[in-house]
Amino acid sequence: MLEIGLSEQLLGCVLRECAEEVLGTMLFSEILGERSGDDLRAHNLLGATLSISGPLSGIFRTVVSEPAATALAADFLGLDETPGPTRVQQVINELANMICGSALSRIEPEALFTLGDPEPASDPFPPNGVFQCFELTEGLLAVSIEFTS
Amino acid sequence: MSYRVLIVDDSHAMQEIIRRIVTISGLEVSEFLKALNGNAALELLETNTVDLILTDVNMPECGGEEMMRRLKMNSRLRHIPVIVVSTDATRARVEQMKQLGAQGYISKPFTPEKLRSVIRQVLETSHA
Repeated sequence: MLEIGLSEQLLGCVLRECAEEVLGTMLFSEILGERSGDDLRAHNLLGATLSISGPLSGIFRTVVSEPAATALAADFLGLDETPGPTRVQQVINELANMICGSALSRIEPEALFTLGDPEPASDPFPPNGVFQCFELTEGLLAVSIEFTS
Repeated sequence: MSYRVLIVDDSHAMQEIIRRIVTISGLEVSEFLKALNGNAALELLETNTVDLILTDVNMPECGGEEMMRRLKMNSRLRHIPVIVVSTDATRARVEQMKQLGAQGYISKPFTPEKLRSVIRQVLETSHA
């Protein structure tokens, strides 16, 4: 088993870098600033959870406030009309996949990881782990990662 | 020249974004075929010919790794150039997929320019 050599603060920076890269490159959005996770409580949330297995195991989670999720999905898919809930969830799944994959390749570039199929998640708060919440133009996005071994 | 491109990804959303980016990249594509995993892709290839495969790695039932192994064992299919498009950007995964025969590797997120550049490079090499 590998031991993760990053502090929680550095891991938080990695999550932010990866979220910024994914949002800016493929979803035409940007992070405007950091927010408290408590701010998410006022919103309906859509999200995805991924299991991580390999030399490090754990859980990655992304949640997005509903209007932001819809706007991000429309931009990602290049739609003028509002996408339906299934398509929005597919895009949130892919968003989680991309941020998580990007983070793991920075955390442990020489290791082979397997990500589980994304599962819908609306609870942003993992029991432990590193958590970051960001303000986007369209709403809020939070990401978290927890390594269990 | 016009190309037939097979996109293999378990995400409908990612299939769509790849199709859109390939289209706007200027590559002349006569037809896009789509499959949700390696098994579905190999089944499509039994009755269809394609010039290029763009594939994810992590997929249910049959992932990109297994699909590549089976492609390379098939004398009719082993020449088809394959570009991996994956969220997994670890050096270990890139090396593994290249050893299995992938001619190109694009990590998500990617820009349209990056996708276009890798596709052109792979097609030029494979048709040289």
